[in-house]
Amino acid sequence: MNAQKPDNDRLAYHVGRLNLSGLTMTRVLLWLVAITIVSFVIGFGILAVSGELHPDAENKMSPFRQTAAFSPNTTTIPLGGAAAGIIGITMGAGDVTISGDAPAAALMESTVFSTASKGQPEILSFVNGTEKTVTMIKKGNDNNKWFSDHTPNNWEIRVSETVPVDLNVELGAGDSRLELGSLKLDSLIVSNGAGDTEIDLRHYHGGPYHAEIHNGVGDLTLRIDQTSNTRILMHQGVGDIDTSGIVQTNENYTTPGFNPALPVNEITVTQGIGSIKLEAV
Amino acid sequence: MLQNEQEYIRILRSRLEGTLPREELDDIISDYTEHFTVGKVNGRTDDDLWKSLGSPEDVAREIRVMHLVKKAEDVRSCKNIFHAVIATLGLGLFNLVFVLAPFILLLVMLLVIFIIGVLFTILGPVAFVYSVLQLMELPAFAIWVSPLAGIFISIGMTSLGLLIIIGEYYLARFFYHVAIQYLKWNISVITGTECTA
Repeated sequence: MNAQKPDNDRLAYHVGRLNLSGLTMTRVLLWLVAITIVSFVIGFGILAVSGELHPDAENKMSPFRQTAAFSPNTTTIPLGGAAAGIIGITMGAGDVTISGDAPAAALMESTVFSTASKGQPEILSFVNGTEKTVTMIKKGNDNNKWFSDHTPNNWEIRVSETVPVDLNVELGAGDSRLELGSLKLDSLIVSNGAGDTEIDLRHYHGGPYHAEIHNGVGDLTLRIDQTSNTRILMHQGVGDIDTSGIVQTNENYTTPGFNPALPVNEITVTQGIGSIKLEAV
Repeated sequence: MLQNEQEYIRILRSRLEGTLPREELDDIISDYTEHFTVGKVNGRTDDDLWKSLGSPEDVAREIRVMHLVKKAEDVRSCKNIFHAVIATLGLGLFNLVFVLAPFILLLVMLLVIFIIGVLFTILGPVAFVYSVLQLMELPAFAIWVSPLAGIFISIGMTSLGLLIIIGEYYLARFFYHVAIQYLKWNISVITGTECTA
């Protein structure tokens, strides 16, 4: 009967008698078990020690990056009787959208889509006389890249349309979309790092403003209202500049019908190596 | 139809030819011929013996099932166990529920485990490569929360996949044995005989 066994169950015969320089199947299994246990212990140990596995409800205890947005965290900053606002937004990495339509009696409302433990910005606010200042800051991940990478980080910020604001936006890596046509701007400063930025000032009917836009590596699209009295001073960098519906005079770009005697919206654009598209619609 | 010895033997032989080896078939035919011979010596008629033995179709079906189950037991293969299961269905429609359904469930379970093992074995090295690429700071390939942890977890995934595949083999062997025993028990319950063919 034993002689027939290899014919009856050849795979079992060969697997059972697999011997590669003393490496029996039992040893292979034991090695695999040991490798599995040790690898998982070290892997998840690194995550645990580096604080990547937080036992909170929003963390799925997964070693993989989360690709979906997490439950949003919304913060509302009330006006608190202020007649004007200064808003500073600093984001290291992630996507940001800024628009009007903040709730009534609120200077700003932000919704952050990120993990509870990571990506949550620090929001500070204080009132100085009739002016309220809000800063929303989250710089890049401080951890070593070997141990941690950025999780998705999306901010949606809504600004009051009822009071004039000074808006200062500093962006690192990530795309941003600023829909500011419904705001009342006193000033606007935008510093763009590596992502693409789109600034939409169409339908702007607030007071005259002064804007400084520093474009980095990414592309910049600036849309203004064709009927506005706007002058753009361009400090050209390496990238291309495309214009549409705008009158160019040396480094100055103006809207059709521009009149320097009237209140002027002054925009200074400093180009980096990204391309710039100027549109007057 | 004439219910005599010749007709009985003819039907039995025709039903079993191609299924059983020649020697085994001759032995069985010889047994039934002897049964008729002894019966006639004792004064029983062909018709009476026919009824006492049961129809040759049923007898051939039972013998065929027992033979296929024994064959599946002796020579393990997917083909043999499949033939044994299909043959067992011929013993009664209720075996669709008592044999075929558990057999399919078992197959699906083993298939799922096998697929999981293969996926782990394949995805482990892929995830390992992604870890290395992530360490090179290529954000497009960043799938791990921590690339260093990803390297170790990738290795663990691969070895776990191999363990699952090997374990699947032994699990399949175990269930094969259980299935054979179950088929034997099923046949013995239906035919009232011990499956030792």
